[in-house]
Amino acid sequence: MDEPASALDPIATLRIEELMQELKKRYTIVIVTHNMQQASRVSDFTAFMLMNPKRAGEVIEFSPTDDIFNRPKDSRTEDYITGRFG
Amino acid sequence: MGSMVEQAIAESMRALVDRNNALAKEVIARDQEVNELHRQLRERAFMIMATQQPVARDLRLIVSFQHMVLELERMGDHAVGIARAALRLNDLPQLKPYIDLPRMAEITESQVHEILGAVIEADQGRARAIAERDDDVDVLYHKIWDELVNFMVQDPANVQRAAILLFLAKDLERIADRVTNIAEDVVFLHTGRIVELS
Repeated sequence: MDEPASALDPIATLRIEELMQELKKRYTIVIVTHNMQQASRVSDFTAFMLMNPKRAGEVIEFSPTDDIFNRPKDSRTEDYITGRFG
Repeated sequence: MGSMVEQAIAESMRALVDRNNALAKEVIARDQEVNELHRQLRERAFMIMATQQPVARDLRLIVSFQHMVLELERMGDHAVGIARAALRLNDLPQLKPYIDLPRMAEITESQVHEILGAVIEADQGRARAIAERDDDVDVLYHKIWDELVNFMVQDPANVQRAAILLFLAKDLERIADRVTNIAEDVVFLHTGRIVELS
């Protein structure tokens, strides 16, 4: 799902997220989002990717969501999720 | 806030040793300032959480500081407890020379001073080392306990003063425990892990 709730109002967003919770019992879902609260709410694992001079989408860190948002290992992850850039 | 609490602990003990009632009353009155600072800091932390939605290190910083200021506020209450005990004891003949209690207070005060340094420098290694020294305070506390109970057994006329001194020693011992709690907060701030250092 690529930004499935972008530009949606909160009620419609909630419906999408509820649907994801339902679907994840049977399917693995990959969701792309720039909404950090949504990422922490809906996912079990999070990958943080950044653009670097050579290529787009370099994976900086992949961990259980709980770890990414509470004790990220990479300072670039920390800077992004705490709103220091982006 | 840390400096105010440090001062309150030192002065409450001086009020006991020097039998200085005016100083004891000052310590009790000044606790309101510590309480007010605690209130203000809680309010600020709440506002940051409500408006900034902090995560990761920012969130750990706010959560651990909230806990640290609570521990400091309680240390201030213990200093008030010591000052109140001093006021009651200063009106009575001195039960015994104060030797171990000031020693216990000295260790406790230095622990408070050092843990505040570890907080400011965000030094978890130092925080862990300070927490380990809590045992020194506990040993002295148990020694004082035994001695005061002996005083009570020897003569019922000692009971009131010995009981007040026991409560006073307990206040010091709790201050040292709270130093350990702050050390745990420093570790949490760094690692995101809640550890038990005692």
